Amino acid sequence: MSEPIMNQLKEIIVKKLDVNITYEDIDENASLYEDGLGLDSIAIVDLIVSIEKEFSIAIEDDELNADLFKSLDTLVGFIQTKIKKG
Amino acid sequence: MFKEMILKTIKSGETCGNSITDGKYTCAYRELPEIFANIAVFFTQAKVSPHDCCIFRCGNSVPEAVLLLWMLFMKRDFVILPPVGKKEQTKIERSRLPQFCQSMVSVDLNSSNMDIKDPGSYIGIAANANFSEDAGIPAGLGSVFLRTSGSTAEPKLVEHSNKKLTQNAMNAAERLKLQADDRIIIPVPVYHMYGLGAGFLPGVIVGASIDLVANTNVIKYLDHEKRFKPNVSFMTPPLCEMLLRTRKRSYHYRLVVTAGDRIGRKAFEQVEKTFGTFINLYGSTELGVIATSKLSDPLEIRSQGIIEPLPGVEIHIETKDKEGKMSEIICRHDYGLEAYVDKRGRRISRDEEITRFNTKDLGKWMDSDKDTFKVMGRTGNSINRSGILVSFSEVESLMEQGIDEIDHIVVMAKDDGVTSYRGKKLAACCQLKPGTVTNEKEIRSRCFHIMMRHMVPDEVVLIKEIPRLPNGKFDRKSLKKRMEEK
Repeated sequence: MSEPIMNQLKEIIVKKLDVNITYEDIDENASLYEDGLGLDSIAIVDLIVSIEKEFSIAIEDDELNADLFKSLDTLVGFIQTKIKKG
Repeated sequence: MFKEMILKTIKSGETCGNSITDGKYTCAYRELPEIFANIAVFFTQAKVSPHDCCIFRCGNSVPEAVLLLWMLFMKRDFVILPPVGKKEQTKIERSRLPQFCQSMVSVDLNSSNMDIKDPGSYIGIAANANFSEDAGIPAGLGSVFLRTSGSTAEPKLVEHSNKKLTQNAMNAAERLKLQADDRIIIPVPVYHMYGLGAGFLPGVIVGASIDLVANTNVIKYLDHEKRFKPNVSFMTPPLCEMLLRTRKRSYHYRLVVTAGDRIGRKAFEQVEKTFGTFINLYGSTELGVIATSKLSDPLEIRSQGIIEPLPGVEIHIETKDKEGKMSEIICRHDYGLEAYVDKRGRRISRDEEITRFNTKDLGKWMDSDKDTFKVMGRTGNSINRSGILVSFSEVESLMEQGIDEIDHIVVMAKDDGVTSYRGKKLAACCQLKPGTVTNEKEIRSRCFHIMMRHMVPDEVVLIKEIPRLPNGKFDRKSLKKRMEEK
């Protein structure tokens, strides 16, 4: 289940965020912040909004924390859990 | 002046136990005397003369905040600049450093043995490579220099006296009704006047608990909010907007302050609904806090951006031609800047420039007694159409309020060499709300119903997403370029 989520997430980053990142640029283990993928504050917000829309989940205020964005892998794990919980 | 105020905070039983935190370090006000004494010894040992004006690289952390308070407490002269980032390491930035400062003071936040009581474990003092023997300022006045943004020209240094900066902060604290049991979150930089003069210093003066957030983003802000549980916040419009987009639950603040760009009426009302009482603050690097919404005003008034000057501030807006016509806001501020200073320390402003300060903002009186006014935009962000000055922000505001489908809008003059018969062409770039459908022609025709004819844009362009700068503000420059290429 995690691979399709990872692919969809990559597609969001490449196609929906205005961040000039290609599929090849994405390291699944790198942080999404400045020290990794380099997403800035607005791009992170766009990413959150897109994830909620594409995966039909709601990310609660309490779930939004820096750890969630420490890598795409972490984010995939989180989305997977949210989908399972339905 | 500042010394007396902070001593009050340190000594009062009501406030001495309150603290300043940044999520990693915390310092109670009662600990400051010991830390101040240690910093004084450290500076003496480092052979920094009390008369040397230092460059102080100050970010939003407890060690930096404590050092900032010590500099003010000791009435030292210093230039406050952002911590060293990528931009600060460039040659051009280095060449802009003031030449009248002998040393550069910074804090090492990655120090492995950081102990807030041991300044040697985190303060670094280096020589300013740009220092010039023959540059200088009158020593020992307790001047604090802040730098203007320099977006249009070489940045200037703005000199504030220790006394007036303190009075400005007291004035702001009084207007915002800040008190000792407030918990103030400051997600804006303290090296800017908004963070320093409206948030941090007023908070310290009343002895409130303060949480400093560095390099703010939404995730970090929510983390701090959860942990610190603030009841007062100093936000920016982009931060408000990003929080509105992500958060699900409302969180009640006693007061949320915003400053900077105009915030649309609808967004204003949404922020109030989500966070609590929301007010506009109008200020500048030069004058500190100038005016704010009245806390007692109903939402209907506050959301229109109607503001009232602080005590000690006199606003002049010429209205001799027509009632309500806008013109540049000129301000006399009892606690404003002393002077503009160049990088060699020479005062470059004339006294009359300071006593009647041209804000370069357009304003309009909002009541016949001239008690309240509204900032309509920058003088640069307006054009003359049919002989009448049209502020881009006013057109933006009317379209945003009157046309539901519009999510974001930027209005600008279009320099394509063709002028409409009304004067320079006016173009409106609109980003629609997701899921809404309309077109450029339809939007323009609706403009005729919601604004005076001379304000109706000659061209409406729908764009998928208005480009933004890294700080979240609209990137007007690149949008203008895009429009001109079109």
